[in-house]
Amino acid sequence: MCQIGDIILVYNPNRFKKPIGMHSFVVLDDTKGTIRGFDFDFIGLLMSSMDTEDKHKKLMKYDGNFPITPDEQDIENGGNGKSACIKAEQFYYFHKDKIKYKVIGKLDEEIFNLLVEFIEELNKSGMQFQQIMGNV
Amino acid sequence: MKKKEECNEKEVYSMEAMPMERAGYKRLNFGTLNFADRSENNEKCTEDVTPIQWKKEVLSGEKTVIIKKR
Repeated sequence: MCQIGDIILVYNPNRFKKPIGMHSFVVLDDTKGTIRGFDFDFIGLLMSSMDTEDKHKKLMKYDGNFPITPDEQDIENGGNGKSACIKAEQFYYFHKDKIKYKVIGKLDEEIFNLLVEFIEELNKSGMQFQQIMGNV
Repeated sequence: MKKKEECNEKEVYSMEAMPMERAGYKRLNFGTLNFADRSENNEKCTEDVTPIQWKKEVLSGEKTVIIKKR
């Protein structure tokens, strides 16, 4: 099972009825619920690599991307010296029966809470969050 | 089980079960967030995304990744 703060690999999550290959997500909330009539088990935030300068520039143009960089964070057991980001403005709703996934790690409490505060600040600034429901 | 409520024409969630608590992890109050009226289709949302290439020890489950503040 996965918990709040976990990093998970989802094998072929759906995007608009099409699988998109293996992607990593951070579990933002592990409370079960219902959205637009569909049950979900947890909500995740998509992670993206920023392993080139070009990708870094492109992704960090967006206010909703929370950076994970080797100079600010330690990545125990997984670090390859590259940067990544968490797309904090898109909420992916997952029903465990609809996906195949694996827990591979976690954000520690401090980083996770910074992420939550980041989202709260985005909200105050007027950001409208997207709800992605292809996996419920 | 709580009944589904509607607030400002947006759905809020009915909580069916409380999850196991991870002490100290802050929970976001989803009721206060601004959501777009319609969700984008996933294709547009992932067009700039590159999957993270984790080490093989992580993919195999031999090691666990922990991201912490330096």
